[in-house]
Amino acid sequence: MSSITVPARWRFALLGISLAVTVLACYPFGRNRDARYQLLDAWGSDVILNGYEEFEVRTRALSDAADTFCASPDAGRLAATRAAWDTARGAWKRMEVFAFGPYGDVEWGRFGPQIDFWPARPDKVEELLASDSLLEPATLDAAGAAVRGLPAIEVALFERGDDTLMAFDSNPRRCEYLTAAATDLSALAESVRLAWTPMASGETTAVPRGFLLQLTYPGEAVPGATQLGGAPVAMPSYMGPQASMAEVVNRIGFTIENIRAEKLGAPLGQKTGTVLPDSVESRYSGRSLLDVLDVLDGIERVLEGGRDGEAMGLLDYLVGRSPVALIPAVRRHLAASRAAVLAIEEPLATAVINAPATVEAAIATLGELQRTIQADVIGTLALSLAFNDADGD
Amino acid sequence: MATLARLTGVRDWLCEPEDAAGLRAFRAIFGGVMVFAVVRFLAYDWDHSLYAAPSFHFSYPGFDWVKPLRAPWLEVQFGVMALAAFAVMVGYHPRTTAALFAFLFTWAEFLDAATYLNHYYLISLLAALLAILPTPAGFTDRTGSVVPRWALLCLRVQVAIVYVYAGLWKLDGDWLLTAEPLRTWLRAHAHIPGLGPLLDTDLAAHAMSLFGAAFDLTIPFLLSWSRSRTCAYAVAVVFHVTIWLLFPVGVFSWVMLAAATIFWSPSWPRAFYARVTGRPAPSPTVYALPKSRWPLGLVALWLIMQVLIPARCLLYPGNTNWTEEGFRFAWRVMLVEKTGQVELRVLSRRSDGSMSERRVYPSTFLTPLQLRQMPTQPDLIHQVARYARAEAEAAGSTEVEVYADAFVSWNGRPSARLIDPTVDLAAEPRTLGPARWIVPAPSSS
Repeated sequence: MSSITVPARWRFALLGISLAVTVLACYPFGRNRDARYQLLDAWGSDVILNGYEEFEVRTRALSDAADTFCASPDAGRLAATRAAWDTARGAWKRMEVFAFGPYGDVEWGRFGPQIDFWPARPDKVEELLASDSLLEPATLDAAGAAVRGLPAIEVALFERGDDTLMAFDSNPRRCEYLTAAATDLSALAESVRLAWTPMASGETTAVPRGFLLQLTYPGEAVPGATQLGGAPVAMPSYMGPQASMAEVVNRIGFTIENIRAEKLGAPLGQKTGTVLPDSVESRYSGRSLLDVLDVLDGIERVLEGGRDGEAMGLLDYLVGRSPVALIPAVRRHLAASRAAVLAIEEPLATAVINAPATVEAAIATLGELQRTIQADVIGTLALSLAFNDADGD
Repeated sequence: MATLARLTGVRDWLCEPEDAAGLRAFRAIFGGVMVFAVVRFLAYDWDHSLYAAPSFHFSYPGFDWVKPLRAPWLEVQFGVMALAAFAVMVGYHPRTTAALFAFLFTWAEFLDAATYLNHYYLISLLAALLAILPTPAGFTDRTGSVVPRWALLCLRVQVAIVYVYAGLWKLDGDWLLTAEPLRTWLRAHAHIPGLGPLLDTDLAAHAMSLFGAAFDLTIPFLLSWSRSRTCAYAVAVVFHVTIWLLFPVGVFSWVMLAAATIFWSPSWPRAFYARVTGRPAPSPTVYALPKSRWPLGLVALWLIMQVLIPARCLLYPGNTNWTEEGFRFAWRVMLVEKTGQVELRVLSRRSDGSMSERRVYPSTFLTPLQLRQMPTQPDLIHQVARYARAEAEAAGSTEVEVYADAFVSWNGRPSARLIDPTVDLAAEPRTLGPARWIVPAPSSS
């Protein structure tokens, strides 16, 4: 049997090509050339950190307003406190696209249910008020999510309607609860911001820090800048910029579906077949539709960029990487969705009974936006490739 | 008479003895890759996340009865699978252990159609062949130094079928004219220094598309010809390693590189041994093998089926990349980038006689992987609709009808409706025939 010899130069050439491909593909440099990293950095600084800073500021303002109100309750200070709650609520809703990592992961703090436990439970609040428990932030932490966060404070400020001031006057514990809950919320807002924020050089902490780096430095362990339970994070969450982008863009789709299914569809009866007006968000304050509009505002920030569109957004990234018609289509569907929600008359709890067609129309219009994101945007960016549980083929 | 003589001559040629060393090495390499694949599967906890955790599984037609074992037996199944692969690798009762591995692996693959992968199908086929063929045991000639030529050729033809079909399906407009889906996928690697900007060009997309098609169509023949074999395998290594580096294909590249070793000379392990040790390897003891007809008949039948099954998509109307009818088990490898969005409208009769309409979002009961696969595959959408009806009926609803709003974007096209929204999808039967409820692909296809 004859053997075939490969000339040495061929062998070296093939070996060299294989090594070169391996090195070029695996080495994590090229960040500055890759627009995906620029987009992730822009989202990180101009949308995520800015957004959570804004939320923290608004919750401090709410806490101050609650203290001022409880020092001397009157209608004017009640209105101011309600307005502060409304502003804080809006700031939180604008971050709903980022309902991952510190929002829901236990190891990163799971702050979402602590800040926005829904549906609100007035019975739990009343139960706490009727008890002998000391009403301070530590007590609320132990009492459970139903008496903490934005929905619980909404109950205290709005649930009694025109009798709210009287309720506060007749029961001093309501004010103790309100100030404790507002202080607690402010602390939670600071914690969720810190969970996202990378540590500075030399800084030490025992709380979760730096989840943002999981997103903006995907596939890389950034020692010292991110911590979980006091220890540096060893395993990155995302394997590369494609996976990080896929997380955020898929979240846009999920967030829109959540609006359609839960915020609008469930009260309308699309989930169970029965109209459930009491299942609307922000039921007592009557800002159910404002909640939806604020979520859409948050989505717009991701699409157009933070700092009122001056920073890089997803649509900027799509330029030159997508069919010409896609970017205008996204903007058109977003504008139409906003208009369709505005066409519903508040309160939503009444609209689902008296004007269900307007709610149905909003759900359908939001569906066009969802489809454009989940079918067209994700497809044109091949983001489904990065969202892997198993091997692709 | 002349024909009979020719056939007898062919049979005699097929039954001539070949060195078993090559097949023994193929068995060992295949087993080794399988050990790696199964251990990796367990390490990622995919047995749990893909099979144990989901409340809903997509079934293959006629195989609804295939269910995952409950813990800890599912883990036992995969553990035994790994042991069987190890036994194949070391050649311990290779035919029996290959049969065991094939059974357990194929069972796992049939648990959920959303996890279908072409290379997993190939693994099942190769494992089954190792169980059927006279696979030599161990690592030495003590257990037999020759095998009939038809055993080697059967494996070579099986692997060649994969490549040739993969190449044939690439001879379409998307792949050759618009260079999709490679154009979209390569754009994701624009950050690679030097190569990156080049990958983000039309030239690169078209060049790689053409090369990919040409590679698939020619590589089995180049590997079969002794004068081009070494260079062809080197090209195959570069090709598959590049695929592995650029795209998340898992063990696909290693399976194909392992499978391609069957094209090497049957005595290559002896030559390798001699080169490494500097000592000549013992020559095989060549003896005549029995010329039994039935293995040849079985192998012929097997190969005929392997040629016909992938071609069944031609029996269905429409573009297979759109309808996905006959898409699986057809070696349609990396041909489409598809994304979609599906929701269901469920109508049912209330107790007061009126009809109620609910909207069901599959994200409420599907895993992320299932949610990614389902919207692009009409038969999976069909199963989801039937499941939604079953759930509604279990909750007491009557006269349930389910309609799907399904939109898909594929290979760079704008999204378009995939399923006829006026058809009660849950009432449609599950058949292997063409589905009347799939909307024809948009005219720009």
